[in-house]
Amino acid sequence: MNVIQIFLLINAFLIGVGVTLALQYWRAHRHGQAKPSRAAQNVPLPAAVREKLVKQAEENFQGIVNRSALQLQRDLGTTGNQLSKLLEKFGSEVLDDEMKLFRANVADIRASTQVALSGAQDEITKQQTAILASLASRQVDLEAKLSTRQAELEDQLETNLAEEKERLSAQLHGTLNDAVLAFLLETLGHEVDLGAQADYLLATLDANKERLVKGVGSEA
Amino acid sequence: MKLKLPAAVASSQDLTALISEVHVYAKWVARESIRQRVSGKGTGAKVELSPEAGELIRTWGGGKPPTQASIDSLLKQLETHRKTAPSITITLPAVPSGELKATLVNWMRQNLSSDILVNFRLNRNILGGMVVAYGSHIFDWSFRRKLLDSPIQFHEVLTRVR
Repeated sequence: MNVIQIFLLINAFLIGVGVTLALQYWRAHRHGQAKPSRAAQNVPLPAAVREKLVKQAEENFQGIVNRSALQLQRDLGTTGNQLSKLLEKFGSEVLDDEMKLFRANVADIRASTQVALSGAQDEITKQQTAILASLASRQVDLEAKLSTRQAELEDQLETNLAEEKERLSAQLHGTLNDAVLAFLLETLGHEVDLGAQADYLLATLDANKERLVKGVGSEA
Repeated sequence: MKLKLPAAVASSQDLTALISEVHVYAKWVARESIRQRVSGKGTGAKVELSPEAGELIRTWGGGKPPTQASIDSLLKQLETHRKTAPSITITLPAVPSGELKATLVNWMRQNLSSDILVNFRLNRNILGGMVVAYGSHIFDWSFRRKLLDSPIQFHEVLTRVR
């Protein structure tokens, strides 16, 4: 049982006391009006006295009620102030407690979050390291494959270039030969001087005499 | 007696022409001999022969006047020669002169066979040199073949020229 509950119980007790006193005054006043005393019944009072007594009693009653109300009001004000202070105190304490609890929870959450974050960070670091290692390995593989492929492509390119060069060279030679042959045919075809070639023809025959003799012998 | 053809009679066509001349001459000799026997004298007009035919007939008779028998034997020998003599063909880029023809024929008859017949053909596309064909053998020593057989050298020569 904390202070607030005790305070509330005390207030309830005081209020109960005040209400009891008020009820006793009210009953006493009612009995005084409804049941006149046996002496009064027995001794008739003059009307003026009776009027005076009634008025005095009413004034006393009024005064008692006023005092009680005033007292009650004063008590209620005091109680209200105390309640306000207690409530303020209680509120501040509750607020402090809640704030402490909040801070503690926040700290716990922060700590757990920090732990989770650190764990996540570690996991991220591990994953990152693994990914980097995998990437590095893959990059090495890719570089190896690329270098191999590049070497193959270079070899193929060189081969293709050599083949293309050879083909173009052969084509160029063929074209040049055709062109020169056509040129020679056009320019020299009708102007061949066999007289100038006589020595060359005899020299050719002498140089290939063995082949000719062998060919004639094989045909014979 | 061994037949020796003059260098001017190189090909089988020349030999055929020579045989025709000798045939004509043989007919004339036969008619002249008949006239000699009948009238005691000849006509006096002789058949015109080419120098090669005249030389061959004189050579074949051994310097004596030709008789019908010697001419007949010459004809027989020529026919045999035409059928059996080896033949070679030389293709040249231009029409050869008589001197060049004689030179080539003499070389062939001295180095290959004394009774060989040499046919000449013309092909301007070979540019120079010659192509010799004997039976199934063809010896292409033309300029065109040299150019075609050595395109790389030809290209190098052209490159050096440039």
